[in-house]
Amino acid sequence: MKRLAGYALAVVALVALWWLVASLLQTPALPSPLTAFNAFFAELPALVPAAGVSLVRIVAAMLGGMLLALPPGLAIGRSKRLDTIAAPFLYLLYPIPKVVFLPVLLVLLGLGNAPKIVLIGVVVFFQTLVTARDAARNIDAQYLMSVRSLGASRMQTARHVVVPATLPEVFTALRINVGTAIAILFLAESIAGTSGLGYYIVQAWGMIDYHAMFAGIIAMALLGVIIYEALALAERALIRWR
Amino acid sequence: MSELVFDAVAYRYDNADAAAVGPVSFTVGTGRSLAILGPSGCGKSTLLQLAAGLLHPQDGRVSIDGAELSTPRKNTAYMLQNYGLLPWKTVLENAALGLIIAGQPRIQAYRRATEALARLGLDAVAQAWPRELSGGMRQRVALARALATDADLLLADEPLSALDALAREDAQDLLLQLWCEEGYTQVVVTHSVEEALFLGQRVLVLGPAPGRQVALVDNPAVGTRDTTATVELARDVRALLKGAAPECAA
Ligand SMILES: Nc1ncnc2c1ncn2[C@@H]1O[C@H](COP(=O)(O)OP(=O)(O)OP(=O)(O)O)[C@@H](O)[C@H]1O
Ligand SMILES: [Mg+2]
Repeated sequence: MKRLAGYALAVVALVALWWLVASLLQTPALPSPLTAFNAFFAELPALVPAAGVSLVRIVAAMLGGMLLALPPGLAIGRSKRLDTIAAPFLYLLYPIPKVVFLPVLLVLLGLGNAPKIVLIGVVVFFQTLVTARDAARNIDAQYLMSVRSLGASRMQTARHVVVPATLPEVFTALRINVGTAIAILFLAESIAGTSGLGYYIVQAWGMIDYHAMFAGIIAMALLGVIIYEALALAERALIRWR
Repeated sequence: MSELVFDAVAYRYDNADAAAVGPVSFTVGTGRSLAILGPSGCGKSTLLQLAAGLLHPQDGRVSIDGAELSTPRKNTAYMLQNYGLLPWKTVLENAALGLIIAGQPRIQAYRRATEALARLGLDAVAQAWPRELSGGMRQRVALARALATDADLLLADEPLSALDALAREDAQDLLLQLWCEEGYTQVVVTHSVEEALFLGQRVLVLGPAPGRQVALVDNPAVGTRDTTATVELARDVRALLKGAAPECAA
């Protein structure tokens, strides 16, 4: 309830600010909130399918990237030997902005869902890999000793200690990366493609239909909020012990 | 059956220049109780990890019932310095963990863990998280885990140091009572001379780092407090500990 009230307050404050700036600037590129929300509801029939396409892409990419990164990330974090081999690769690859590979992916994978999902997936993969590795390195030794003294195998140690101990940090990283993931989605959809919210926004922009453009922007913002909140919800359901 | 024997055991951590333990020799017969006493950093926890099979000595031999210890064994219950409960598991799941890891079916493991919890008066908190418990309750959960696994060797690292004075005496009574009833072999590490004499039939006195063995004292007064015998023994043991301390600038 408190959370909802907080959200409502924030929305009101942001809309007020938007209204203020819009009425100061008086430019068609920044319509007033009322105009924009009217356009949003008028455009809903076109927005919903576009948002659906974008949602599928981003969920597939985030899930895939995370699930693929978790096992190797945790393994590297727990094994000195693996880390010696993997760390140089991580240090080299992690800072590279993965977006620059968009053209390559477009050439290789065409204009459909694949290049978008792969690009976002790669970004989430590296974020999760690095987070999981660091979290696994920092597990409190007493927890490991506690299960090892009971004769736990490597798999049992992973299941009872390594995964649950690192899950909170992995989730935090995922939540923080929702923004980046959506930004990349926007880029990929607007540069190459014929569907999704990014495409929708850029189309409207090209046709100088600022109302539709803002309707798209609102939809994309909503998409971010929904994914963020869904992650927070999953986090609370999975990590009840905190 | 579980006779624990340390035979001239010495251990040095990688990249440490001095030994953390040793050489140390003692025997704890089946069903007997040993208390380990010594100043901070003298290697008590290291010694227990050697007994648990989590570390392996560079010198000497740790054996249980005559067989050299090479890996942790499932009938040893090792209570870590802060109990080693997993914060992401409920009290019941923590108590059942030993059985689950030993491969027992979940239902059976939970039933035995529930029995163990009930015996220690923890029925009401079976579904609670460890963070919701007091120190004394956490210690009892760790004991419940040991009971549920039918441990024949209990290794407890300062099991009572986190408790306040009153809870501490209760917990000492509980430790002693369980040991009497269950008949397992017990090794308890402690900072307190009185506690060592209450819980240990023998007291291993360690000197300051590197943990060398100062004395192995027989304690006929086990299970009693404030009797003439314990008071006298306590004085002797204190003298041993003091004698072992480094000389201060006179
Ligand atoms: N993992 C480790 N790596 C290197 N040195 C260690 C490690 N663990 C302990 N030591 C060192 O070994 C010595 C003995 O440590 P240990 O923890 O066994 O002492 P302790 O008697 O249990 O101390 P306390 O009373 O504080 O619990 C100390 O000097 C400590 O610094
Ligand atoms: Mg210790």
